[in-house]
Amino acid sequence: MIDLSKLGPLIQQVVTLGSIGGNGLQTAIALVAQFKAVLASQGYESDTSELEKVIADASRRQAIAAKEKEAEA
Amino acid sequence: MLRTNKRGAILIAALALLVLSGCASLGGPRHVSTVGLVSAHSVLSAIQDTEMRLVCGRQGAPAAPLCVPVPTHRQISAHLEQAFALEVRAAMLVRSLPPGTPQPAEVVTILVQVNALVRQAMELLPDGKDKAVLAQSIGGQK
Repeated sequence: MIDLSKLGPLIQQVVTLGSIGGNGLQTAIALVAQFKAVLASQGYESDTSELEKVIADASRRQAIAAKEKEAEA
Repeated sequence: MLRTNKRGAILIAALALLVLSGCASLGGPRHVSTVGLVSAHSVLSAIQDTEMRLVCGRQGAPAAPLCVPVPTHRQISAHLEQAFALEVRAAMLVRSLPPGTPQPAEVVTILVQVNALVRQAMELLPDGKDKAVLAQSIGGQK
């Protein structure tokens, strides 16, 4: 999920830059880099959360499998 | 005024294109590993849930030869235990990676090992409707 509250100020800067029609190519490139950094950090946190869910559930299932390995007829 | 607005619109469109074009590469190796592990976990979970329902003599299990005999159930459980343990190891490894780190070769090796265990577990399941449905749900592993 993208945190729009973090992207809001960046979008505002883009709009402002566009509306004044300035020749701020470097500013625009810097804004793109900031945009990408925000999106990447969101992806990193999201992946970490998914990995933690996998670790928790896989550990639980591993314990079940270990118990079932000893199941009696 | 009109010219300024046009330039502004072009600039915004250019920025949008730049950002969108970068989106696909934002995930990086850590994201690719995460997707692989989440996918592998779904497959293993589906096998475990299905197989546990098919153990001969348990409530709701089908009759022989469609049920899983207990000795076979033990074998499958042993494979699953090993696969889940490998998965935990790989997930912990990937979780510890800082942004931008290349995917460790160990994660790929573990996923290959998990895939081999999935195949062995699937081979032990008796042929029938449940196995066919399971194979379809996990993407054709037989």
